[in-house]
Parts: sequence; C-alpha cells; structure tokens
Amino acid sequence: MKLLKIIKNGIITENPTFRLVLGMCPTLAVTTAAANGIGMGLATAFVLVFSNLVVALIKDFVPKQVRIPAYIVVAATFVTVVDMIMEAYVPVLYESLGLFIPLIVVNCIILGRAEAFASKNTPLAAVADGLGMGLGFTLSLTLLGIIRELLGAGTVFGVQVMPQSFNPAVIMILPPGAFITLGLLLGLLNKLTAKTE
Amino acid sequence: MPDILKVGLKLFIITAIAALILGVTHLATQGPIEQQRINAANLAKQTVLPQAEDFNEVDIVSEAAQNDKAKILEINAGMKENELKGYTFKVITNGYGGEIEITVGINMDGRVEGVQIGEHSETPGLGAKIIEETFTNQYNGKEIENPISVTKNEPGDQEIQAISGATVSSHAVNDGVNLAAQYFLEILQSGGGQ
Repeated sequence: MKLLKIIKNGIITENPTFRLVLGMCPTLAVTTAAANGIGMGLATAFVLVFSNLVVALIKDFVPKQVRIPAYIVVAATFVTVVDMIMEAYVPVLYESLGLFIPLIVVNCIILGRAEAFASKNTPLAAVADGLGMGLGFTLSLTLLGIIRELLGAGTVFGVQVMPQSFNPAVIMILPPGAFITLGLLLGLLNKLTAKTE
Repeated sequence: MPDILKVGLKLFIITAIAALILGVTHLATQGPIEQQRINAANLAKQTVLPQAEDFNEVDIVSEAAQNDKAKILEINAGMKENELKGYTFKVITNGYGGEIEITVGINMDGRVEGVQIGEHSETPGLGAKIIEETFTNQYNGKEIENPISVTKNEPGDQEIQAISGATVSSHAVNDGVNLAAQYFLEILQSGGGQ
C-alpha cells in the first residue's frame, strides 16, 4: 500500500510539472505535438526508475560531499548506455526518440528525485517514486502536447480532428505557445485544487 | 587517510565503474550502430531512386556543384545489376529558418524520380510542411531539361505549387532540386561522372 501511495504522490500530489514545476526545459521545448510529449515522458520515466534504483543502492557508499557529481555520473552513464543500445538494436524507436534521450541528462527531475527521495529511501521505494514521477511527467507532457497540437495544427496524435475550415493558431506550436499553455494550465489546476483543500 | 583523499577515491571508483560500463557498451554496440547508419543512408537514396539497389559515391566536380543558393554535398550513382539507373544528390540549401538538407534522385531519362527532405529548421506548421509527401511528390516524374519553377497558383508542367505561407521554404527546396538537375545535365548525363 505504501508503494502505491508513493506512485500516486508522483502522478498527482507532487506532479513534477504542475506541482514541483521541475524539468521545464524539455517540457516547454518538446510539447509541440502529443506524440512528442509521450515519447519524452516515457524515455524520462525509464531513466528515472533506473537512476533512482542505482542511487538508492549506492547511497551508503557515496560520501555526502560529492553526492551531486556521483548522481550526475549515474544518470549520464545510464542515459548514454540507453542511447547507444537503442541506436544499435531498435533504430525505429531511436529515430523518433533519439532527439530526446540526451536531453534527459540535464533534466533536473532526475537529479531532484535522486537528492530528495532515492538517497533517503529503500531501493524498492525509490523505484516506485521513479515510476510515479515518470508517469506524472508523461501525463503532463502529453496533456500539454494535445492542447498545443490541437490549437496549433488542428490535429491530435497526427490525426485531423478540427474541421478543414479551422485556421490553426501557429503560435501555439511555437515557443510562446508553450509558455501560454503551461501558464494557463498551472493557474487552472491551482484554482481547482484550492477549492478542494 | 585524510578525509579529502577518501572522498576523492570513492568518487574516482564511481566514475571508473561508469567509464568501464560505457566502454563495454560502446564496444558491443559500435558494429551494429555503424551498420544502422549505412542502412539508413541507403534507405534515403533508395526512396528517391527506387530503381537502383547499390549506390557508389561519385567524385564531385567542384565548380558546377555550387551556386549562390545551394550546394551539392554528395553524389551517388545508383546501380542495378551493373546497369546505371540514375544518380542521387545530397544538397544543402538556405531555407527560412536555416539550412535544409534535400536528397534528389534523377534517372537516366532526365526525370526527377523522387525528392526527400532531411534535416531542416523551418517553422512548424508552415515551412516544415516541405517534408510532407503532398509537397515533395509534385517533383516525381518532372522533366529537368528546363529549370522547374515555383508558383502560387495551379501548377503547370514545369511548375510546382508553393506551400501557402511558406514561399521562402518552397523556393529553397526548388533551388536545391534545380541545382542537382543542372549538374546532372552538365556533367553526368554525357557520362562525364564515370
């Protein structure tokens, strides 16, 4: 039960995008389409689960003065290994996700969860946290991607949903659209949760 | 042992293990990655020149391979069973948002066989539509005897229709195709490239 609570914490209570507002660079940059949001989210979730696991396993060995460089090395190593294996054996997946993989190293969610959670908890709990945070990140990015793609291109996941007469607001898939959508969604979610508390 | 040495040693152990893992992965994946890159490059050539199966790189005659709008980076002769079927050209041109990479296939009848857009940084939703087949397929079967031009209206025989709102990007692609066509007519068609 405790593990489920940790997962739910990542998806809802402390959603990395809308609650912790972590990892904004990839969030703003790649959410031009729903499919990109899912791709980036899942790739990050995958790395997050394993980097959390490794950090939790080596937490007693790592001296606290050099824990940050140690965690960065863990995340960067893992990302690079995933990058190489994907390019070598699953080229189709690499073609669509390849662009996002190196970006994960600099995603502060990885370092944030290593420092705030994995280094203080058991490996099992750390994996659950990685899973929850990763899924929370994926859902947020997909939501942003759906809204921006719908308004900016008239499609969702590449499928035309708006009538042909709809004139897409191209600004929504350009960088300003990312800030506009994120700002409005943050405000909306704050308003909704403020009522229930 | 002083504390700082102990801390440094531990960090060294962590980075050494990371380096070892990376080295082993690199060794294991080096071959397959090389092969995937060759496959991908061949696939792009085959898309624009489907008649051919093998591709051999051809030396570029420098003065004809460049004008003020575009530049040819690589030319391959497309062969099938030792018969020359045509050429593929990798061309760089200047779009609205930066350089556009285009692969053009021209067959021995002097017609465009296919056009494919590679890397580009055109505006999403506008110029980026150059990658769509509805745009690039307009070139299929076009004769290259005379340069192809871009129009905003219903296109004629030697014309392709520009993407609305993205005239610069459309012209950039067209410049690249025309440069490849010109090079083909001047150098390759007579057998000068062999």
